[in-house]
Amino acid sequence: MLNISHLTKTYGEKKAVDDLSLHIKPGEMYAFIGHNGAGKTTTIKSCCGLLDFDDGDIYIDGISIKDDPIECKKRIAYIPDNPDLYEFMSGIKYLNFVGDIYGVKKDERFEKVKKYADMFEITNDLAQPISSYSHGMKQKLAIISALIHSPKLLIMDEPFVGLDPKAAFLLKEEMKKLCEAGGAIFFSTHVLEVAEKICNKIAIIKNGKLIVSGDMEEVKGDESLESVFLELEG
Amino acid sequence: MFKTLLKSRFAALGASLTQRSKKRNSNGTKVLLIILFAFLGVYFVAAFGMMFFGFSAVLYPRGDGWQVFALASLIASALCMFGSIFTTKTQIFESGDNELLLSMPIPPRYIFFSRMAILLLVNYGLEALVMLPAMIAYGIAGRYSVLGFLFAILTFILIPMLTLALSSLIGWVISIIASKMRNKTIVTTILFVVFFAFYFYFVMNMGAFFGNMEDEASLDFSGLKNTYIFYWIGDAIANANALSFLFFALAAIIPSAITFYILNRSFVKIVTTKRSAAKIKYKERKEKQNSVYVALTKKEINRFFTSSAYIMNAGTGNIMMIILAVVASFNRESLMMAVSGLSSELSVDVSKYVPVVIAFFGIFMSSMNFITAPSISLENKNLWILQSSPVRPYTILNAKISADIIICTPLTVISIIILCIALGTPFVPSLLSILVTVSMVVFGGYFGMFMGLKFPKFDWQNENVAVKQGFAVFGAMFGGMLWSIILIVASVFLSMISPYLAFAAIIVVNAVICLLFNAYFKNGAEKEFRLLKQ
Ligand SMILES: Nc1ncnc2c1ncn2[C@@H]1O[C@H](COP(=O)(O)OP(=O)(O)OP(=O)(O)O)[C@@H](O)[C@H]1O
Ligand SMILES: [Mg+2]
Repeated sequence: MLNISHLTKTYGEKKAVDDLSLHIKPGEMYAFIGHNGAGKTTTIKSCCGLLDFDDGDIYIDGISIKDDPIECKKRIAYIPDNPDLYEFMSGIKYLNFVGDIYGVKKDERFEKVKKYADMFEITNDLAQPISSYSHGMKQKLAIISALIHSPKLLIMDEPFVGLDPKAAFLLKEEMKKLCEAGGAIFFSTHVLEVAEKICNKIAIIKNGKLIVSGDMEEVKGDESLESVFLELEG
Repeated sequence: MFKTLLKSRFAALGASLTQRSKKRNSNGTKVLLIILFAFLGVYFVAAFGMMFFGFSAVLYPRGDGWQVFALASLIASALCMFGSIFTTKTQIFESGDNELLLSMPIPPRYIFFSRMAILLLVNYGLEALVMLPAMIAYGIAGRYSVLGFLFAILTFILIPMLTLALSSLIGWVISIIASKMRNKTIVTTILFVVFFAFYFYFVMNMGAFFGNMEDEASLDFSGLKNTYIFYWIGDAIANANALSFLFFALAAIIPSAITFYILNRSFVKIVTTKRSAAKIKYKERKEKQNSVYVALTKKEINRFFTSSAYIMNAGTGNIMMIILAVVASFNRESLMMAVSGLSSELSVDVSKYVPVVIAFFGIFMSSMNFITAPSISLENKNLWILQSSPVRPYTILNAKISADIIICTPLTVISIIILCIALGTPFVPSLLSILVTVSMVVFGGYFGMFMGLKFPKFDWQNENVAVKQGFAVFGAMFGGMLWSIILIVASVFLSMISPYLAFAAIIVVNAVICLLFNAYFKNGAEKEFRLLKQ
């Protein structure tokens, strides 16, 4: 589904991501962990066509993001680390805008907006301008806007930041469902417990280099993810 | 403490005047601006001085000296109102650092009065441009009594207090009305437009309202008697009438004292109440699906109409055009007379050039719209939404241009139609002048988009900066004006051969340029858009 091959990205002299290869198959939920400034956001943005990279290539469903970015982006939903949405729109306007951009049909859109807005409990705020939303509400709206176009690949940058415990739980449930339905998820996080609990795959990045990747169970062995991480990054 | 606050206000005022260029506060631009302001100041003072000298020379010997000061104080008040109505609203009620300052241990009245002091100073500056030359001119052409001179100085001190109180009140009322409405931006804009329409109409017809200034012998502003306040001022200074001065002083001091008292009392409340309208209830509704292009265009239109800063800055041409067209249609008789007068004087039929002049007006006014120019800068933090969407940048840019054209065309066409009807131009030339103006609107859309894409500005916190500053906006505005002037000059020559030729040439040239821009957006600009903010 998502195939990152020898990705290299430099900022000036600094190599933010260095020869990183990763293959994410349908049904897999990949956690991406690493210290601050390790290169997570850089990798994720490259996968979504938000950054040009120097070397390597990224394929989505076998299509290179360099050759046909539009086809690739149709399959992806991206949630950035900061939910900067159009503040001048109301929540519902934004959802409809996203629906239009991804060609979600009228009835399907209506059902999904209702389902997810009720689930995340922001139905009553949908008519309010986004500028009046709290951080968590914006994050919820960003999540809903990602879910309404039924992406095959969900890419998220620290999605749990700012979510209340209930919303975090609901998001985890939705992530599981998406993978069970044959989708794939690639997300960065600093919350190791979450990664440990819901992910079947893990990748650890340090100073731009991938140091471990593979099945969660294999990487972890008998230890907790935390101790593995501290050992590897320390 | 009060001094520190004043200082910070001064700094902000200076910054708002000088920090317009990309490189902030370079000494060269500072000096240049100071020279420019000084030049303008001298120019105004000289112009008003000459005018009032002429008036005084006629009116003083006739015993109508009061009219000089009545007129001068009227003009000065109008100038002060004009200068402070915008600044008041932003300086007092919408100033960005209000919350920060209130969180510090500073008495709120210090904050309020430091704001007021700065505004008062601006008002004194504006007043001086008119009142000082008038006072000096009268001193030379006529004579003051001691008491009259004292009254003149006191009047000078009092006028800005009155105008400031009035403009604060208007600014406050507009904020209140707007906060009660659903669509705050539109209401604010419309209220301001209405205010300015009245204002322009009043200023343009001031002569007709208050008197006669056709020639020296019949020079007369006795109509100013009906304004009371300005009559009192004139009477107090020229005739040393203490009673008149008392009336004026009371009329100035009492209302301003009340206004300042109320505003000071409610300052904290005004500033801290988040003026958001009542919560809007969400009604579930199946929205019809739009195409990508329509969705993007609607988004841009929505963006424009939800920001009064965007409307007021990038849509100035539209606003001015409609105001001037309406004002012109009220003055249609004098315009018609001017046309026929010119015809008989030059002994050619000038009326056939009227549509050309209307088209020039349209061209020039549309060049003051630059809605597309700041639209990339405005994306800033939201740019990821478009960049991660499965949409070609070409489509995005086109949607932005379409939104510009959709916003600007109706008002433009209506303004031109009003002018054509007012001036009674025949059908075909009228239609052509509409087409010419629309071609300029389209040109403005493409050119602004080009500038916006080439010179985006992403280092802003407040969207005012994005729509006012940066090379995209400046280039689009001045480039557009320059282009409109080139077109106008070129077509003046062409219209000597035939007005139709001039019309056709403008339309063709604009169309060709837009096609070139389009070709660039389709091929070269795709990558540029993708690489924005990297
Ligand atoms: N625009 C940029 N210009 C220069 N260097 C950058 C830029 N963006 C990121 N970097 C550098 O690239 C490296 C990787 O940054 P990145 O944002 O990918 O880290 P991250 O793993 O997401 O960190 P965090 O956990 O703090 O979010 C950092 O060293 C950072 O300094
Ligand atoms: Mg990051």
